[in-house]
Amino acid sequence: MIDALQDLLPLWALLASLGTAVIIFALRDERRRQRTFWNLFGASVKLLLVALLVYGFLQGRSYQVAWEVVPGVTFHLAADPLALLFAMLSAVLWLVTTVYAVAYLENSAQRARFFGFFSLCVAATFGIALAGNLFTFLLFYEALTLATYPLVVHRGHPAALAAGRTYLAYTLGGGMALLAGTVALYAAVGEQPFSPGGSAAVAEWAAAAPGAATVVLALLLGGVAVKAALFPLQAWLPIAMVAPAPVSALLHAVAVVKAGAFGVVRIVQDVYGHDVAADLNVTPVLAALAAVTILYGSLRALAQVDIKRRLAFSTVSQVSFITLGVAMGGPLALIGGLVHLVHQGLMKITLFFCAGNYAETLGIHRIESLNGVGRRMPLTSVAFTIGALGMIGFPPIAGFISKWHLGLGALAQELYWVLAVLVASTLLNAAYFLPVLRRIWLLPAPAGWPGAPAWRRGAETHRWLLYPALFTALAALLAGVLAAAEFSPLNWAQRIVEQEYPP
Amino acid sequence: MMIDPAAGLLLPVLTPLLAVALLAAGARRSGAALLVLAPLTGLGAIALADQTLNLPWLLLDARLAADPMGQAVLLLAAPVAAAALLFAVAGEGGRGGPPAGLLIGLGATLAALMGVVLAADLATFYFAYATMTLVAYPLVVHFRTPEAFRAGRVYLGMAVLAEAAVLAAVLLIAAEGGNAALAEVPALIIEHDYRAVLVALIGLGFAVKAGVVPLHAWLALAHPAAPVPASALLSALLVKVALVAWWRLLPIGDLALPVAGGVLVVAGLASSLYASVVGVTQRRAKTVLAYSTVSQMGLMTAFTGTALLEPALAGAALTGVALFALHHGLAKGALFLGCGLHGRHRGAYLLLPALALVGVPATSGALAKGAGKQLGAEALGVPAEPLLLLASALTAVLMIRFLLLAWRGEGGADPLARRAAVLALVLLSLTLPWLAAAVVAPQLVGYTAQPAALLDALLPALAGGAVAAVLFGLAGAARLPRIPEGDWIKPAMLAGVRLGYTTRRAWRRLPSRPRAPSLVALTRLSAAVESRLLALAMAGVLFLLLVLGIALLGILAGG
Repeated sequence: MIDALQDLLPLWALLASLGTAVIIFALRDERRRQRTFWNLFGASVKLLLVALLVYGFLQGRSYQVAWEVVPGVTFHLAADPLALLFAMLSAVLWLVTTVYAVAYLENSAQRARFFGFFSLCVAATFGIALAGNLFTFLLFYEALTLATYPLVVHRGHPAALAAGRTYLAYTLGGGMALLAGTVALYAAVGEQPFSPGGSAAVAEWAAAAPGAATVVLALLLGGVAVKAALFPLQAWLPIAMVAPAPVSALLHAVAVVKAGAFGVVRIVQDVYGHDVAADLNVTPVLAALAAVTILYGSLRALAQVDIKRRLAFSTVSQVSFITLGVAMGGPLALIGGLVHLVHQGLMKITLFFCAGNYAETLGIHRIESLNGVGRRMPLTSVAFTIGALGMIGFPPIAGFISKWHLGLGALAQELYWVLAVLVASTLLNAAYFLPVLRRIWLLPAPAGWPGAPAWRRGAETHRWLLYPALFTALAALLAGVLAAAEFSPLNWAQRIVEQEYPP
Repeated sequence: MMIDPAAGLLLPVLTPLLAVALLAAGARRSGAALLVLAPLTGLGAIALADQTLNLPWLLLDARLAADPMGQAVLLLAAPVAAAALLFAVAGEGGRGGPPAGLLIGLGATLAALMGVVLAADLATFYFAYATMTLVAYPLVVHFRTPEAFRAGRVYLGMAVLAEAAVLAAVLLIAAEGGNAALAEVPALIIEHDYRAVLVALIGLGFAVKAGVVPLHAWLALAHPAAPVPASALLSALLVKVALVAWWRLLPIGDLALPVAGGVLVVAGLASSLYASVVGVTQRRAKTVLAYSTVSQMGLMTAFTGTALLEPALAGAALTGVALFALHHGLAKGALFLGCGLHGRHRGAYLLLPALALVGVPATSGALAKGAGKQLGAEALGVPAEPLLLLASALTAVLMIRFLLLAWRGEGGADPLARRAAVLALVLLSLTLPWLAAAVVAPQLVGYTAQPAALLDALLPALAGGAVAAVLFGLAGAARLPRIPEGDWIKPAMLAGVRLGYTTRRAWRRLPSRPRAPSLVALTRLSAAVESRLLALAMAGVLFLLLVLGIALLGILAGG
């Protein structure tokens, strides 16, 4: 009995988020305490279940939940190391973001709607993580699009609605491409579960009909590239910045952008296999696009004066490191890409939390208003500094570990131009983050912060706004400092790559 | 549980960090006391010379050890940093002590420096080096004046560019050997497919820190702008890290690299002569000292170059560079701290270290220059001799210029601790290099006592004195040309600003649709295209593409 229950663990974890959503939708808007309780309870239970899943996996259990929806099409949840990496990341960051969002949205309207869709969004992310085949992946991928739309337009003003429209236009377009690619692939080779190194049937088909295989691969990658904000499909991301800070944090660190990047990993590694994709000449194009995105995002970030917009363009740039790592191929580059999936999430969520704190506490939205804020909000600023330095790739923060492996991977594949891209990206990141740090810490503060609401004396900001930022900043630091330790993100990424490239 | 004795290697890094934590938490008194004592833990690390500390869970399998070059820098860093920190902690006397920000910055810089010196693997070394560069920035801009921010901008700009070169080199090395132990790096470089590129990246990347002309501009700006204890750390210790890096990474002693060695020798000697000449025209004591640092680092760069030219000389060159670094660090530290005294007779503190830098017989400078002269004669033959003599003579002029500018303080009382810090460094600069030489190179001590060597040391000093008398006495210092601090950087920055200004003006005058490609135009264009894309209802376009793709698929699959 217990065993049977445990075998269905992926399903319970999925239901934990879905159930939370149902309960929260049912609660009236003004029942703040109850909603907060259910939010935190749901997030904690989810985290616990995912932790159990990881524990069970380490004990050698294999979790497979599958049933046939229509003949030839299966709903399939499976827990492989790659799935668990993404699931663990989303479970941890969801809990943290929930705490943050509760404090952030304390006094705004429509909180039931917000938190309901917030939970749905995480359920969809979890589904994407554990999807065992393309159909299941597609299902949750589309669900994620629909669940995030209400979050993007949450404020309801014209700019938010316009951003929502753009967001839908892009992501639904991408979804259609993904759908077409999936249908074509199912028609060609039937259903293939995700398997490390790619499925044999797809490889045979690609050898027999390379043209068709190329088009299908392009469709699939084009579909996920929209969410991964790959050039030239990145325009929606900076516009979606109008969403509240916790949503931006979630969008940029865990949910939407990462779902796209994760999709790239799944399609290249586990559907086609990197060798097949490279034979079809798709991965060099993908790598080139990723490199262009990295530089383009950084250049655009330089020109921004709004904190969140600069962070958004930085996301465009940073997420493409994941795509770049996958596209380059080879174990080291793949480690770099996978570990950046986690590292970028930790660092970027920290930065968005801090940007939200500045905005909520002192009414600061623009970079030039950050002067001297380090003295007024020292802890938030320390967290921001860790995030920013990590983005630059400054050791020992997590970003350096990613860059180290990406660089080594590029050299192992003799792609010397990638080294130039990495160095240029380091310089550009330094150029748009270091001046911000200089303002925060070294320039004199203005006489008062005009946009600041009356704040309790002595408090830096709301505790629930501060602790999540500190937690994720510490995690980003430790992920770098203790990278060589067991169960670090790096260690886990190495475990995944051992499967993808068996020694 | 047995504690690994090698864990003592962590103390020099952790103690200053603990002091910083105490200071940040508001425990001023205990934090400051611990900070002053922290550098002395470096002496303990020297005793652990044959140990390696393995921390496999840290970073990318971190390892710490004190190699010969590291030991030399530790021997130098312990007293200089302790004196500089004592000087900082003592404050101006009265008025609530020094600002905590300065002490925190100094402590963090010290911890990073110790990390660089003790790192024994590539990743840890790069980590500590990058950290050291970054945490020194708040020290440079400590006074928050426009001048300080300008110095900081130049410092960080040049440092970040250099860091990029270092990062590329580190990744290239790691591509062959993973996160290799530093001891294995020279062998990896010898075997490397891109050896020339690597040597160039390492040479160039660290030349900025060493202040090799023309990459010295940041030094001449940062030293005068920073507070005195920070300048002492920068000039006496941080620039020496470039030597540590070169000696550890480059295959010195295993392989002759004539091009790289030749470039280092020529650049070093040119740097030394050029900086002395420009330094003489400067009008602020600390700027003169900064140029003197560039000049002396040039000599040490040249010695490093000789070892690259002639692998057989590597042992002698290492001794020479280490002794020179020890001598220069102690003397320069004393001089910078002395500049921070206010007393009318502060010149008395400055005289001996200045004479040591000149290399007057019986000072540590005579020892260091003796080592250099022996090396230069063996490696380069005859032409090196007059150049080294010329460098010594110019140093003498430079030091006389410095003493004239700095002799009289603006008046006022100095706390006892500050005077004690300077005095201790002066005494150590007179003795410690001799003691070290007696251990590592006894024959050198004998050499400096020979009449020929005495004459060698005395002649340039006298010649320099004569030139100085003419320059400053008869002609009058006012006639010296005015050269801005950081020589080329100011015209370069002005030219950059002017170029930007004229470009923008020309831009505005252009007809409404400019065609000239520029970064601004590109970003504007892409923004415009992006908004256009949104207006076009991207979904429709994608849908069309999709239909096209499926059609294409059908054709290919059918055919």
